[in-house]
Amino acid sequence: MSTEEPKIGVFICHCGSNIAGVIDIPQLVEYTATLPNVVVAEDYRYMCSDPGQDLIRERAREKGLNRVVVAACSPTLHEPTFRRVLESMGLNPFFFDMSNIREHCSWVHTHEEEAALEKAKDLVRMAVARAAELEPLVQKEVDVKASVLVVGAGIAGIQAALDIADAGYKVYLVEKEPSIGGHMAQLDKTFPTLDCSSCILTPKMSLIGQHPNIELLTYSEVREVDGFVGNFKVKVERKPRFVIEDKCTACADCLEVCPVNVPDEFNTGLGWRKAIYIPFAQAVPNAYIIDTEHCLGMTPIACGKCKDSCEAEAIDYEMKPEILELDIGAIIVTTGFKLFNAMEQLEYGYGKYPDVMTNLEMERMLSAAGPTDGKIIRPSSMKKPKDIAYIQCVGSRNERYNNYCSRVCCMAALKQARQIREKYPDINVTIFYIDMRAFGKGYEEFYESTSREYGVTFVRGRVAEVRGSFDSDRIVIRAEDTLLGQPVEAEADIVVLSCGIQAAENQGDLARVLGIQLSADGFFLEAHPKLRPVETNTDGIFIAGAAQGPKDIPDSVAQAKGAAASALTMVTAGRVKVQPYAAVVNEELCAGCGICEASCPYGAVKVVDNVAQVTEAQCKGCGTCAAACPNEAIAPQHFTMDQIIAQLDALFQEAR
Amino acid sequence: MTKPSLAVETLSICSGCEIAILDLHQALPGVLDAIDLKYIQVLMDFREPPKEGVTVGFVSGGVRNEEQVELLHKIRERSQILVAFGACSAFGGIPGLANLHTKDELLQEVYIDTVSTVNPKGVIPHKVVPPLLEEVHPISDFVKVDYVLPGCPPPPKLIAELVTCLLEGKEFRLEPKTVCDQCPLTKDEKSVTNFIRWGTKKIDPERCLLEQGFQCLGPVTQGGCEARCPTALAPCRGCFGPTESVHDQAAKMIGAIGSVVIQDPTKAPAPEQIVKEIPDLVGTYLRFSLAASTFKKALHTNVVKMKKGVKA
Repeated sequence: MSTEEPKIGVFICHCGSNIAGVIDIPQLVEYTATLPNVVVAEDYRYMCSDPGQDLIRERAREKGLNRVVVAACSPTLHEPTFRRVLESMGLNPFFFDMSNIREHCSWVHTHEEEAALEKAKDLVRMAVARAAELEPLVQKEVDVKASVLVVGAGIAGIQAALDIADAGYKVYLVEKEPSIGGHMAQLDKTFPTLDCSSCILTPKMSLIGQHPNIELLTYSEVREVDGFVGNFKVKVERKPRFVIEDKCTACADCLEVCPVNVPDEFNTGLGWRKAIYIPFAQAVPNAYIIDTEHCLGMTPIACGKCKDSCEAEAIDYEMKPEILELDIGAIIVTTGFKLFNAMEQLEYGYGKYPDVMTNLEMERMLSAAGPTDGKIIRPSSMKKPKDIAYIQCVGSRNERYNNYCSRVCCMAALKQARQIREKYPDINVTIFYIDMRAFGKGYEEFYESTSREYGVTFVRGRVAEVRGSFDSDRIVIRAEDTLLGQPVEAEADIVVLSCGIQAAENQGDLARVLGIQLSADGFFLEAHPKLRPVETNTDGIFIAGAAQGPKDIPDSVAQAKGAAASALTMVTAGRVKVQPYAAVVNEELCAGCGICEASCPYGAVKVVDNVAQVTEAQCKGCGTCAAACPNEAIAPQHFTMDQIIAQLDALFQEAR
Repeated sequence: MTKPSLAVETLSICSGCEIAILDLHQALPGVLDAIDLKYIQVLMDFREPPKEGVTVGFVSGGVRNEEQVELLHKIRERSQILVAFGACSAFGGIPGLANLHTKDELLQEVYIDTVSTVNPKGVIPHKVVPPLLEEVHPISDFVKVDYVLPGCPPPPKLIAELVTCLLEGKEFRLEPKTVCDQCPLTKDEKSVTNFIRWGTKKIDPERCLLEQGFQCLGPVTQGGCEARCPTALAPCRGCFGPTESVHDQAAKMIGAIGSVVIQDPTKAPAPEQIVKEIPDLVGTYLRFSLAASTFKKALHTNVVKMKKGVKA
């Protein structure tokens, strides 16, 4: 506790007419001057401008100020600015408080000038009361390890890894599946350019496989993240493939002899694979893997045919899971998404009628490398269909499932419709939609030409029901055409459900391991939706791609490059400042109940030997633990109980 | 030198605290050798503490009627050191839950409405019995208290410790930690998806009861009891009241409950759901300390207002 008498200067900003247009500034200044410990109370047009900052410096020198309060906008915007002013005068930058009389007063009480003034008085009084209780704090700097962990190797993860590796830094790329590529590898063509998806993806994939700066860890998962910005200790589990990656030549001899057939996940179950397999032809690493769930026992006694056939001696039934410990400077999370499970929306008959399929299944069917060699057939009869209907917004924009728009399904449906019409001009395609959303660059043009030149029919209206026809083997769709204002009934041979994008399975668990947050829709939460879109609230952890929210390929790549640049900024600087807000534990009061550990959104508190311990660099000083602690045994340094009580006392004392 | 003397005054209470003194068991003869027990109603036929005064006065029980106010003042005057002995004396205890109702409602219920009551004239005793106060009070509402030994009842080990301290002229103070400090159960990961009532699910004998979804008040309750309930796999009910750094046990428990619920928003139960799973909030979180809680006055005033509003 500093012993010197607080001398507080309060500087009130007009923010042009943003504040002064509503609040009577002279009255507020006059009131502020009467507050305890206030030595200077002044106003200026723009406090954040250079002359505004100079005013603070000048008055501080004249009157020997040791605390500064600025009543202006949000501290998220200008707290750093004014802290720098204090620093430049040789004052501890934490002897500063800000009261937000713009967002909290003038902007929300535009038509209640009196009330806005009273509220501004309250807020300034509270800030002054807290300022008197402020303690000097010292910012620390920590080293940043020169390596980046990228979690998830879809297109976003691949792009981020390449950018960082090209800049000369070590990248660990962790992928849960046996091959990198993600959902993009499953797509046939991409909108709106109709590029062949794998033709643009696989060059990047093979670069990843060969890049000297990239250590690729496929079939692996992040199990534990400890440490803090610049100094993460990450444990990654490498699950056993039972095939030694370096030895496997992908000769396919084992395929010939494997007696087990399993529905092929890569082809959405439309084809078959063996129990020893490679996910797809261009897989990276180009090595086989044994699916132990279906393999006939993994012992030479039961089967062991693959091992006998393998000339490279790449098969090792004894392979064990392996835990790798990595030292990481920054983490980029690009774990992608999960397709909405169409079974959930019962009225569309997915799982009941074989000819009702998802958009991803249709994508595989359209693919020249897919299970039907690019031919479109009805799964029920293996015959060519005459009519195909698309149902949009399956699982999206629906209060029962996900409220949000999945952003890609309109364009995906348009693209598939166009591909179908190109290949088979005699197949009719109808799209049932709520709104067609073609917002990206070149998307509207694609929509126009698809509807005009390719003769796709559009019906505006959400489909109510899909059922089998009573008279034939076709499928009946009932909907309301909201443009005609009447119910419509249509028949089709194939119904494609445009399933939306959902947060990946176990996204919550991963968030917990990483100490980052989810938004209400289950995707990872960014630090600021506009200005910090790839950062999380945990320093040193970045997000990109569909793990942050539904996104198409261009957006995912753009975001991945952004995340890579942000991580690089940190790694290249080599050192990073850590805010001295961290919570402090009073060990005399702490009983080790662990309530704080459970409440900490950043994983910064851990109970060790029955006492809570705070990892300073991980702590953001948010105060959640202090509020949760049942015995007031923990408190952040920049929001102490004394400061809060001082603010409350000031709030409830009668306004003079 | 004369032995230090002890008087035990009994107010609104079940007498369990007095029995707890006897529960000193083999240590009792030693205690009785060292101190002169002048007055304890469960053992001696006196009506008030000795006029010449005692060294230490224990008060068990909260204050419910006007006579008890008098008795309380008497023992305060006649004791050099006054100890609030047990939860009722310290925080009003379980009788303090009566503060959820007005005095008139209580009398109506007890003397007229109860099924087993036969009272055709509707007489409410008022002549030879002391009049009730409007609410139950902890003794600290009326007199200065030197030491507090909470518990329902206080554990014999702490009674012995208190007596030893007093005999040796030392300060008696409970370590300001909560029950969890002494609890032997393992704390693992707090990610509760639903709360359950005790006895409705098999208990894992190794794991923190709160983590298993039981309403254990251990985290918000003054420790020192050696976590006797959780050790026996019964959730802590909070009979030691809040620690000295805390204003309100219930407020802290509500904060704690918010923190033990799973963080993942896709798996977390709705707040309304959690409230539904805790059938008696006041009775669970302020079972022993309602009369001394922050909510006390506000609650009482609101109850009275609400009742009046309904009548009007």
